[in-house]
Amino acid sequence: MAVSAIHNSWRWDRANSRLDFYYRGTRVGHINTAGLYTAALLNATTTITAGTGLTVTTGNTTNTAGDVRVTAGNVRLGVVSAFATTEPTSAIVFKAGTAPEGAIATSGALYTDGTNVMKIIAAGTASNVET
Amino acid sequence: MAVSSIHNGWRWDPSNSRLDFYYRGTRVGHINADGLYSALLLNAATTITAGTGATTTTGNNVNTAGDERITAGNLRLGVVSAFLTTEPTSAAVMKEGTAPAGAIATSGAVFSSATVMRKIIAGSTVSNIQA
Repeated sequence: MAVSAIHNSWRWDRANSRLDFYYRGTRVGHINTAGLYTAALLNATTTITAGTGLTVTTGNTTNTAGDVRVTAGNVRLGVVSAFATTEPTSAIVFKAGTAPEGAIATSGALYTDGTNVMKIIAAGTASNVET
Repeated sequence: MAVSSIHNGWRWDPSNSRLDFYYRGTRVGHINADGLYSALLLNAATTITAGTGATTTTGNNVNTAGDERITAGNLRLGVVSAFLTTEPTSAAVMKEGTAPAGAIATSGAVFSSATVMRKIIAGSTVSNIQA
């Protein structure tokens, strides 16, 4: 049975064995025993928390403000275990800037001043990354 | 009162003061005054937008296609302010490749050839990174 053009709320989808939810006749998503799926975008005014990982299958992950922070673990470009075979080539690219404040003793950072790729190491010492 | 094994839709949970939603007797998530919570996976067909950050408490953030883009801000490995104490060791790991086309004047990039770490700076000058 077709859905009314003004239908709001749940509708059982027999063909797909799922529980759809609608906004004014438009299917916005569904739930099943695996979880909640949206057919369109998902927008949170505050924080999105993922308990077992966040996966993007198409498009980019973009932070328009704030940092990407890795509290534990690494930044990996490609799948490390497959580097010898079919992994994509990748790079970390950044615009010219100044040494980050946080690069202090027992840590380091890479950045660029516009003409050199720079490193900052223990005690805040900044120098070129040279050949 | 227990939930029927075939219950679909909403159910008020008085003990937790929340409005649960079910698929065939399985609680998929709930809503309350704080927002929407998924007890299982959450899948968006298009974009997920987080107004004040996306946090992963367990597991990884994985892009199977596309970039990790930071329009403003930094990439931070560990909590910078706590580097002197208990931060984990981290690395940016990448497969060998060619200089990225985007690393031009007033920007730079770090990448890897098959044998050495390389940098590209203003004017598209590429050179090795050494100690």
